[in-house]
Amino acid sequence: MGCPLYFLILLALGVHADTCNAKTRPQTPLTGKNVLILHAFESNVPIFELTDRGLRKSLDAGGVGIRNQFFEYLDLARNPVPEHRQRLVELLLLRYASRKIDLVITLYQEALQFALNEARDIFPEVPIVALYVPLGFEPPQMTQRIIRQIVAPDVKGTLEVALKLVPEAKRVYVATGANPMEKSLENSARKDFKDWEGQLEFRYLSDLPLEGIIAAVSSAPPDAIVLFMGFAADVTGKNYTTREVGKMLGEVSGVPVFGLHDVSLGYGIAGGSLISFEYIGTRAGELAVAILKGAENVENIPSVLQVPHVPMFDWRQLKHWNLSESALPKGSIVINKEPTLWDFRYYLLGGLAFVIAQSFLIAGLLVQKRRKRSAEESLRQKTEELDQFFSVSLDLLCIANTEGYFLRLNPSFERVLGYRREELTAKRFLDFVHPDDLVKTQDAVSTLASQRRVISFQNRYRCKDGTYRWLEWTSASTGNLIYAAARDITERLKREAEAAQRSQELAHVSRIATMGELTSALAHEINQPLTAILSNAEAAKRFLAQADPDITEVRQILEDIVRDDRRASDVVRKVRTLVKKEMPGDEVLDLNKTIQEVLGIIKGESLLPGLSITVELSPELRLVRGDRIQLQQVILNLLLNSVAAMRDSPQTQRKITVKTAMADGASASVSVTDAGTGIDENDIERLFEPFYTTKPEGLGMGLSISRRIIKAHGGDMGASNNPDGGATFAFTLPAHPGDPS
Amino acid sequence: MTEEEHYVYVVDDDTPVRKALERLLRSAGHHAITFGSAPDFLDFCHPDAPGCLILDIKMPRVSGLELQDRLAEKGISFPVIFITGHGTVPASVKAFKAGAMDFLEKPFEDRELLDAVSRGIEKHRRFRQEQSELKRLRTRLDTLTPREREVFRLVVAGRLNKQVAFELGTGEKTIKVHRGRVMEKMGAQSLADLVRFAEKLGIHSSAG
Repeated sequence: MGCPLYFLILLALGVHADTCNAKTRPQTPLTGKNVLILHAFESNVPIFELTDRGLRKSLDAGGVGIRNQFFEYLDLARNPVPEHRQRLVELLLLRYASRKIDLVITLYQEALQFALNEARDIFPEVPIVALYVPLGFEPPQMTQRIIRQIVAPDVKGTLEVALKLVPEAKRVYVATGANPMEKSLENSARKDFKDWEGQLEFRYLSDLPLEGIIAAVSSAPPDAIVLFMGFAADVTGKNYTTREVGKMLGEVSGVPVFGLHDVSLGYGIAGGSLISFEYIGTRAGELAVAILKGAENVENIPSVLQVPHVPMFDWRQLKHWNLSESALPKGSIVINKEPTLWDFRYYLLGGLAFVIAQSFLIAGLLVQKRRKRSAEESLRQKTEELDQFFSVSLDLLCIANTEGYFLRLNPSFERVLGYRREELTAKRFLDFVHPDDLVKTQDAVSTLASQRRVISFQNRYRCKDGTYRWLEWTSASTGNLIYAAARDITERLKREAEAAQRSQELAHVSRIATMGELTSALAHEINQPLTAILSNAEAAKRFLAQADPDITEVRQILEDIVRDDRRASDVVRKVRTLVKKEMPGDEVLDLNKTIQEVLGIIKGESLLPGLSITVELSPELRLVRGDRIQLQQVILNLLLNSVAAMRDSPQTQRKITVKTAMADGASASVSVTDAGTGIDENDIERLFEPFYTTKPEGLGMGLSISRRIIKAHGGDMGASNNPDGGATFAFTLPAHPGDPS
Repeated sequence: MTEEEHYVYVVDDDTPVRKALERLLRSAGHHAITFGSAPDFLDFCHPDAPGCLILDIKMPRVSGLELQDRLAEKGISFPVIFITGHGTVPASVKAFKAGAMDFLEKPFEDRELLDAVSRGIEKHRRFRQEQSELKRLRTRLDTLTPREREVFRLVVAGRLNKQVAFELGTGEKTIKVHRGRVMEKMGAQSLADLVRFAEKLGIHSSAG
């Protein structure tokens, strides 16, 4: 956004700079070229002053500097004696003999003649620009190049302009001096005025002395205008300047005074189509520069310098006489104008450009500011939102540094740990960590310090009341700042522990329930040896009570009693291990052995009449890792499940096959196949849901708990129907990596 | 225990139990013959002597209850004492319905078993005596002429000689002779004896 703005400003400034440069930058400097301006008369006459001004300006601009401009005022009119002229020659010789003058500009015929005659040897062969030579003056034929400028006032043009401004004018008072030039001018004017014969009444005042002229003008009727054509001397021979006379006329006149020379402008005349002496000076200077540069061959320059008249007016006069500015000719120069905005248009344009640029800049800055503010606002809003989240979060949020101090904490810290914020920030956070968790916490901080994230990190923090809460952390770091979120998982861990315990208890209950289903089979297993023991013992007693007891027989009996007792306690022990409530064990197991242990407790026939259990145990089976009792329970559950499925089958068909095998090389599989009723395909998944049962006396927990046990061991359990009837329940367990067999 | 030779049969698939029961019975003076399965027992040609059967209710292939049925089919009528590791109501009800004499739950006191065995033997002995008396009576009954059988039936039904003579259309004197011959052939000392024999033989008066 800023770029176009600055560009605009540069553009504005650049334009300005360019215009300045164009005005001040000298063209190819004319080093060492000297120009002499030779005035015929005194220096302080307005006409000369204005001419000098124009000359200085254009010479300077053309590369002829002040040090190379030489002004000489011959003052010939006031010193008409020959000695003066002689002395002037000497003076000029003194001044310019050793100096090369490259061009001479003369003002008035007298100066030109002086240069061509008395001063001829001082400035030999130097081109001359001769200003203000009268019409008809022909310079002598010389090798020297002379370019003339002829003074020819625009009387007709001025009258035309005057009549446009004062259309109601009926009379024209023609005021002018009486020297020869002025007389000649009046004569030519009279010819020009023939065009207005009949329309206007002309009154010529040159025959009157100045006082008379003033008197005449002051009493001019309202339908008159005054045409002031210049005034060097009146009829009495008294010298004046055009400016001072024009001023006098302007002061006394009751009607507008129009003039022919810019020297009067601003000094009493309303204006006219004027000879501008300053302009003539300017043009002469430019011509001089052109000649000196040699850009133009002197020979090709016209011998007459034409300087156009300039319509010029005094704004105050126009206002005073209530003359319409709109009647002025195109290109008119109006002086003394109260400055209007138009007059300042370039400044205004520049200023405007600047203002526009500045406006853009300001607008840009405002936009930027607004954006910044809106960004700040949205940032503030976001920060506020974050702050809100920060303070309402149930989780513990903090920013800490890797030196081990909390920098910022949310209220949850105070709530969970019970400390005040200051207490938490005063100490290193490691001071709050449980001694047993210290090492791993330090490790976690090191991990964070190396700009890695830490997730699901758990440790214990000491609360104000001395108890410990378990916190689970997720942290990231930037530089030495740690951003961390923690969750109080104390309750969760407690619940998980309780759930684990409940699950264990449930497994226990389930085992007891399983035992319940096994009761009759187990009772048989235990009662058989007990019956044998009791009967043997009684028999022995009787034998011994006989007259001649057969001791051998009694010894045999005792041996049998011991054996049967062992057999009974064996069953009891096996049952007890199954029912015993124990923490889950973790040992490396041979599933083949585990299966045989289970089958050692229950016998097919004792579960279901006619039932035969076949085992096909793979010698390649690899060891697994797990809890022996739980896995025994699973196998037992599967067997009982199969038994239940065959309760209604004919005795001859009651057959269970327990098979082990290696599945895909990395897991051991155990399958229990029965020849029962099979499973309803729709129920296959539901079979493993808790409390789902098809057995009238079943709890519906066996399979669900079995599957849970297997999953907890990293395995899986499933069921399918056999193609030739019955179902197969199978589970797999990952093989123990340490057992490559 | 008793003078007469008798046998106790034991059918149990559990060898140690079987062996222990044989010893116990032997120590109590019984003749015990043991079998590992029901078919073994069925195949055995048991002596014609009082006896009883100790049967494990839960056995592979043929259970105690099934054996009980088979024996009934074969007309073998030993009193049966069921022993079981874990008594179940349906099994025991079925056993009793089929004529089980006793039902013992393992492990049992020796006295319980021996008392049951004694009761069983005694029962069987009585049963055998009744069976033999009935056989004797039937043999005697076979010696009666049809006229004497008529007289026998009417006399045990409580008819007087005159009534019998009237029913059979003959004289009272003739009936007296028939009656005396029936008493003699049947080995009855009195009318009461004759009535008891008739009961045992299932002879009922058709003249109701």
